[in-house]
Amino acid sequence: MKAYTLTLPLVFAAALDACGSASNDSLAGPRFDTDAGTQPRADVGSTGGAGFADGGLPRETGETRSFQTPQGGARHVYVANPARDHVEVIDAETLAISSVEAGDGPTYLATVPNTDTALVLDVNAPTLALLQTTATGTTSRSFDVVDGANAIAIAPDAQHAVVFLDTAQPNQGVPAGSFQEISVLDLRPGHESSLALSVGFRPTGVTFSGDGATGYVVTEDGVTILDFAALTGPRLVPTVSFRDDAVTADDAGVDGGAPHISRDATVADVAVTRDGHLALARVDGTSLLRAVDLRTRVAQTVDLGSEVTDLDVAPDGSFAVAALRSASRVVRIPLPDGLGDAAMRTVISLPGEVTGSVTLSPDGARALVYSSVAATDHATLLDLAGTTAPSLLHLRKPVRAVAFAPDGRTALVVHRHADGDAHAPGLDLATQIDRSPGYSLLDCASRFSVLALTDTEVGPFMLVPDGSSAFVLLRDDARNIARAQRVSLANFTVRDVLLGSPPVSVGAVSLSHRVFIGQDHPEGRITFVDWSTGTQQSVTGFELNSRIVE
Amino acid sequence: MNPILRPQTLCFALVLAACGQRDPRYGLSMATLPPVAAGSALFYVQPALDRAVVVDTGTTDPTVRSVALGTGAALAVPRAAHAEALVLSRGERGSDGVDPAPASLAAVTATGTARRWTLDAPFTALSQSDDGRWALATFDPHAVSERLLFNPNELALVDLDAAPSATNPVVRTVRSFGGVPQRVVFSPAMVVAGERRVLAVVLSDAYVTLLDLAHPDRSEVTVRLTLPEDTRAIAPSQVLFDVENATIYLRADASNDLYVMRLVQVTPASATSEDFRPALNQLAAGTHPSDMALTGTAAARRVLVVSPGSQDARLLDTVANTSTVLPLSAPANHILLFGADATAPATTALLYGTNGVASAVSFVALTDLAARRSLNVETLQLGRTIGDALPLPERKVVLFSHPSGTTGSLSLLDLSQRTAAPIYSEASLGGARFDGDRQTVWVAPDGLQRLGYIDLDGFRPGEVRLDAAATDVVALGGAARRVAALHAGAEGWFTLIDGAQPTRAHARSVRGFLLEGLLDEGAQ
Repeated sequence: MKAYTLTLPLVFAAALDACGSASNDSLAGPRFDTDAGTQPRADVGSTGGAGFADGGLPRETGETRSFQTPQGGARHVYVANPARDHVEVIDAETLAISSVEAGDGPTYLATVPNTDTALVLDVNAPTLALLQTTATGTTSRSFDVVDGANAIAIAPDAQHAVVFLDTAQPNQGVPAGSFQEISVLDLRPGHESSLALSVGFRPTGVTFSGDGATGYVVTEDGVTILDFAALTGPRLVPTVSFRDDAVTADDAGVDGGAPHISRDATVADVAVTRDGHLALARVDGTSLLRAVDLRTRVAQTVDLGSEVTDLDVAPDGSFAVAALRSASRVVRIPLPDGLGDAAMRTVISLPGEVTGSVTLSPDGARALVYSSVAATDHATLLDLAGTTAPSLLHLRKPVRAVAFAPDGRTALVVHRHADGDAHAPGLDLATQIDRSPGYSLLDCASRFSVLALTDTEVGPFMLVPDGSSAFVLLRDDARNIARAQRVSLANFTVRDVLLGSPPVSVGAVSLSHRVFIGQDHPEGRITFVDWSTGTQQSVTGFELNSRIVE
Repeated sequence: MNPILRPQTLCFALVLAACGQRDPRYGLSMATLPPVAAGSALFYVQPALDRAVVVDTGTTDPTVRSVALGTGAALAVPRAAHAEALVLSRGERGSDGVDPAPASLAAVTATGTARRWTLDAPFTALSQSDDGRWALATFDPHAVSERLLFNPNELALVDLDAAPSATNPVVRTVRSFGGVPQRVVFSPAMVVAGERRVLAVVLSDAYVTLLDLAHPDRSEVTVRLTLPEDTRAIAPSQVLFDVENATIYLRADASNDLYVMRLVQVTPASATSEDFRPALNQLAAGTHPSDMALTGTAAARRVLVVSPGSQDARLLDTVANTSTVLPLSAPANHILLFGADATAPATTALLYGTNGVASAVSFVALTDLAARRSLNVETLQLGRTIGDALPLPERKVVLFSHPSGTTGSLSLLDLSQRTAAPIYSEASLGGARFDGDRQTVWVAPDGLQRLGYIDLDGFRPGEVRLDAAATDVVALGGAARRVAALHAGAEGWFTLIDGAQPTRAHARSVRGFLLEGLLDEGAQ
């Protein structure tokens, strides 16, 4: 399972949530999963060539989570207000608003899942505020962190967090100094502290072991391992490279037999298994996977025979799935044994289908195979836990992104659409459908799907934690479209949620069973929707509230 | 018509003719502020003479009394819910031979007595609570200051039921974010933080100030309506109070949201801090909302809003903060709520648009509106665009004027029957007034020696011929339904008309009363 994909221009693309334990992205922000397809490269491994079904398909774009939108805690929503150096804290149940100072220019904010604890990074100072909300109010505590930090990753046990400058994300300009410094925050009560560490070049993501005891910083140089228990003071921490950095005679052109990876190669879809034993990545534009045993630091290369366009690792780390778009195949690789023994791998051939991307359900029992760039309205549902044959899904429109519900029973598929006015006179129904934005809802057990066309582009969406419903944001300022759609995942019915201003983000407040929809409004507006009943309430002017003076 | 000429007219003329060395006071202006009707009396304030002339029409023969006022009377208004006039005097700044005098506020009764409160500043505007107990003197931002320096955010709160004292009036300067008070609205008495109290809401540019009249010693609460970086000219323009829920609703020009201030109890930070604080929210209300009205019950409060910019009406659920949009066939910029009778809860809303934006009105049944939506809307075509409107929900009528060339035409909309009766008129509705029991509407056409009226019981129009053109018509209180047609003239002149018998034969002319006492004064 992968919550989002970072597609980086230089070296790494990291699936931060590859082992299902990444910090706090399970509740807030868009949940896109797209084909991280690449341009063919001629110098490494096997590449796409004559006879492949997808020759020339463009690179597909990923979607990222924003740290600059409101974030939900257990009961409260936190809204950074950099202009006022405050964070507004909104009680999702009472809509009471409080404001707390949070350093100089608090901007990038993340919440600890299922708690009312938030971390917010300042843009005008190298500081981070730790906010904790209780019945008596919200406290703020400041820590020094790496200059220019704009990304936060919180361990699943909420005991530690890692902040760093992710140059691929919106930032305030690259500061002078090292791109290799991070800050590790100890969040344990009574031990709160910040520790500066050096890691590999240009960190792009952080993932954690299932127990939260170890963090893995994905960098251009490899994976830096953070053993939190051992981080008691300044020290150098190990970085395990995906490259084969040994200088041998092979460099002079003598092939020793094993697949060779160019020193300029980039790796993508980096994942660390839940137990922290294995890091896995694909070598961009090649047929190669690279796996590193993080304990022994022994690496191995796996050639799958056709360009790997996507790689996903099961939440429990027991297997990986690789998409071979050019070969119309998907390969299931048991971990770790399937890396060295090709006979243990399961090759699923899907003739005629463009298998550019694969998305695993949260339980790893199913996978959706599709392409987000090919002009095909097909997708394929794989049963990875049982013996059901792959099911071809006729979705009627090309796929842009896919998200499974947390329970894995349903999925939401966002579609691409053709150019042109869908409502132009004289169009036949098929053309109208082609030109309309929309999304499909899929019941995995029955393979039943429902297409819902929308009158504007499908914006951010989310599936609520209990899997009962999904929320899709729709916005078109020119046509005064400002609403969300609440989709029941029990019967696939869609209900409009009218909003007072254009929606920009959606998240969930787990204890309150409420979704919050952040909107574009001068004074700030958030609409809370009970995801069970649809009851909605809005709070507007929460920034003004904090300016009431007596 | 029965003329009543005061004898002082002749005496005053003789005195003037006989003067050799004229007393400077003979050169003082006889001009008055616009007359004020309160109870059965008419109050004429003569600023140059520092006095008010009170003509009590409650007796068989009108009684005339002169009441001394503070120097520089600038404003006279009826006191709310009382048969008194309030006169705001700016005082005298002093000059050669003229001593300075303080500004003051006077409450003048029909019997010729006055209570006076000294004010610290030459205020130019006055606001009152509905019960007439509280008056707030402020500076009219559009008035000339006539002072070298003045603080436009200074104000004086006067308890009109209490005698002048060290704590009455309370003078203070309200916090400013660069603006000045534009208007003041008083709340009804409502329970806030467990205590019944009245609030004064001071409307300024882009913010409002709440003053607790029960605790005038406490700090005011200032609520900004925009963030500092917001350049919109958000000007508060309408305030409604939800007494049961201790909530204030505010509409502002240039904002598409309504501002909702729920007054919640807090622990005061100090002895002079308030024990409540507004919890601010904003309700999306379409594009350019122009009027709002509260409906529903306390437990399910709704706000009905008309938004001509989006040509719709919206029912806002203040609990869920959701809106039900009602597209309208005719644009509307005003709301009139009415029920089965004057005391019954409102069940219907009339939505209408003035200033030529619509020629039809919409009736909206409020019951189950959120579910029935457009099914509850009925449009009535009037056939002519609406210029102005005079709503009279107690009588279940609305009088519309329609721009029609040089003369105006009227429609009387029967809210019960949902019919519109055209009435052709040579006058506009500009100066129309209702009489005291709101049974007859009176119009004093500019320059005409006639007073028009429409009896709202049968929509029967009529007119009364006058001896001179009327400058205005005012309704008088008291037992009888009477109006006074005011005439120009330095000596003071009005025609008293019996609303029950609106004929020239039953009218009386009262004239010369502004000369009251002048002869006595000159002989001193």
